[in-house]
Amino acid sequence: MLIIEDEQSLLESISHYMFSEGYVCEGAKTYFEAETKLAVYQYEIILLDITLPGGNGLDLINELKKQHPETGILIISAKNALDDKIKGLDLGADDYLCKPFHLAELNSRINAVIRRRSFNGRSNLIFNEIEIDTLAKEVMVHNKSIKLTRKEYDLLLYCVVNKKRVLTKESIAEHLSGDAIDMADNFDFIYTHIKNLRKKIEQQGGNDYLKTVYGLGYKFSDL
Amino acid sequence: MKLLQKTNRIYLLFTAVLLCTTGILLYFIFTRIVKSEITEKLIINKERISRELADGKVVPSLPPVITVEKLPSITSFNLIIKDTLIFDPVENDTELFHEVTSIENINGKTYRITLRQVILEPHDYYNSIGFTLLVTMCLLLVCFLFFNWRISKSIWKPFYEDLETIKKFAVSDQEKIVLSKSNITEFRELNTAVENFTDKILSDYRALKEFTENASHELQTPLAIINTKLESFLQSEELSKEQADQIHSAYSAAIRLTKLNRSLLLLSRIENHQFTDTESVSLKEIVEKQLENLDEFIKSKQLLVNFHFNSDITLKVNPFLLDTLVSNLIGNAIKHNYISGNITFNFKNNTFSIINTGQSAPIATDQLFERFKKYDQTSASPGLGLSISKKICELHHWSISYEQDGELHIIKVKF
Repeated sequence: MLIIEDEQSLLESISHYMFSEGYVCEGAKTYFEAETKLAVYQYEIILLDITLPGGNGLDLINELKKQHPETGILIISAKNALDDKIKGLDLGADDYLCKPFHLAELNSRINAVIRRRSFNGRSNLIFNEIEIDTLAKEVMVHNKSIKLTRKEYDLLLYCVVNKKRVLTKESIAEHLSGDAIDMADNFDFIYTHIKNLRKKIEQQGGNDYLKTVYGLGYKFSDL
Repeated sequence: MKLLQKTNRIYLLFTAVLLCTTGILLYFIFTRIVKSEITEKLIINKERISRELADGKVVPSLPPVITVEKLPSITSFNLIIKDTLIFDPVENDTELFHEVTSIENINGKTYRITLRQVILEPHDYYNSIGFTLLVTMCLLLVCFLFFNWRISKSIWKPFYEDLETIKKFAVSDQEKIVLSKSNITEFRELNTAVENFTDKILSDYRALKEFTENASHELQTPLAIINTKLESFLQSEELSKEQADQIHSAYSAAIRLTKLNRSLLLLSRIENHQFTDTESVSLKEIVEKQLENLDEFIKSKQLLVNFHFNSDITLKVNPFLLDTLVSNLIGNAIKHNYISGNITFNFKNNTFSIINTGQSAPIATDQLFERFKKYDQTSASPGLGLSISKKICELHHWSISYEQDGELHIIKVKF
C-alpha cells in the first residue's frame, strides 16, 4: 500500500494502523516522491491526498490508470468539495473519504476496495463460525444463513473488518448513519442494532464476539 | 420632508416676511408722500385765495372744502395743519379730512381761510397694499409648486432611480452597484462615494467568506491528526479505565469539533454559491428517501408519521442541497420530539410543512434560524442545522418560517 499524504503525523497514524492490519505500507509526502514510487513499484492500493506539495493528486490518478490499472485508489481529502469527489471518481478512483475520518472507517473502505478489485467482489470474510458473503450480502453462522437488516449487515461487516480493535460509538454511528451524520449524536440507535445483531447470531448458535469496552465502544474479538 | 419642500418652505417663509416688511414700509411711505402732497396743494390753494382776497375779490366758501371767514378782531396770525373728521352732507358720512387753516391779515382785515381735502383712511391703505401682496404671494406659491414639480421630474429623477438601486443592494448577491452618471457635482460625488464603499463592502465580504472557508479547510487536517492519534491511543491494551475515559472525552470533543467544522464549511460553501449543478428533483421522492434514511431514529422514538402529499413539485436544484434541507428539517422534527409523538408532512399550495409534537421551544421564534442557537444549550450539536436550512432556502428564494402552536412545532417552506 502506498500512502500519499503530506502531513507526517497523519501518514504515521495511517501506516501504523494499516501495518497492524497486515498491510505493507509505504509513504510519499510530495507529488514528486509519489510519482517516483508509482513509476518504480506496483501497489495493491494507494491512498491519495489531493492537495500535495508539488502538484494536484488528481493528476496522479491519470498516470496510474495508464501504468497499473489494477491498483485500487482511495482518495482522502481535506476538501469536502463535491466537484473534487465527482472528478476523482470519474478519473477512476474507487472511493473518496473526507478528512477527518475514523481509522476504522478508512480500514473498512480500503478493505471494500480490495475485495472489489482482487476477487471481483467475490470474497467471503470468515470469522470463526461467521461467514460473510460480501457480494450477495449474506451472512452464515455455522453454515446457516441468517437474515439481517441492511444496517445490521453493515455493522457486522464493519466489526469483522476491524476485528480486535476498539470501535468507538462515534465511529460506528457515523458509519451506520451515512448522510444523516447530524443525527448520530444519539447513540441509542446503535444499541438497538447491536442488540438485534447479537440475538440473531446467538439464535443460530453463534458466539457473542461483540464486547463492550468501558464506555468507549465495542470490540469484536475472539472469546 | 423632501429637500425641495424644505428649501421652498424656507424661501416662502422669507418671502412672506419680506413682503410684510415691504407692506409696512409702503404704507408709511405712501401716507407720508400723500399727506405732504396734499398739504402742499392746500397751501398753494390757500395762497391763491389770499391773493384773490388781496385783489378785493370775493371768494365764496364751499364747506367743508373751502371756508373763508372774516374775523372781527386781530388775533395772532398762524398756520395750522391737522387731520380732522367732519360730517360730509354730500357723502352723508363722516370722512377724514386733511385741513390747512390760516389766519392772516389781508388788506387790514383778518381772515381765517380753511381748506380741506378728503384723504384715504389707513384701512384703505391696508386693504389695497395687503391685497396686492397677497396676490403676489399666491403667484409665488404657484410658481414654486410648478418648479418643484419640474425640477423633481428632471433633475432629481436620476437621484431617485439611484436610491432605488441602492435600496435593492444586498451584499450576499455579490453584484456590483452601478449608478447613473450625473452632471450635477453633488450627485456625482455621492454616487462615486456609494460605489466605492459598496465595492469595498463586497470585497471585504468575499474575503471574509473565503477566510471562513479556508480556515475550515485548514482545520480538517489537524483535526484528522487529532482524531486518528486518539483513536490509535484507544487501541492500546494497557489503558486503565480512567485513562481510557479521559482519552475518550478528548476524542468526543474532537469529533464534535469535526462536525462543527463540517457544518461551517457547508454553510460557507452555500454562501459562496459552490453548488451550481442543478437537476430536476421531485420533492416527494427526496422526502421519502430521507424518511427511509432516518427510519431507525423514527422507530427508536416510536414516532407516528403522517404523510399527506396531495400533489408533488419538481424542483430544479442541486440534489445535495435539497437532501440536506429535508434531512435537517426531518432530523429536527425527530430530535425535538418526545417518545410516541408524531410528525406530519404536508404539501399543498406550493408549501411543504413539517409539523411535529415536542416540548415548547425556549428559543425565540425569530432567533431560531440564527447560527449557534440551540434548543438545548448543553447539546453537543453545534446548532447550525436551521441556519444551513435557511441559507439553502435563501439561495433558492424560498421562504422558510417557523410557528409554534402549543406542543406543535410547524416549519413551512414555500417554494
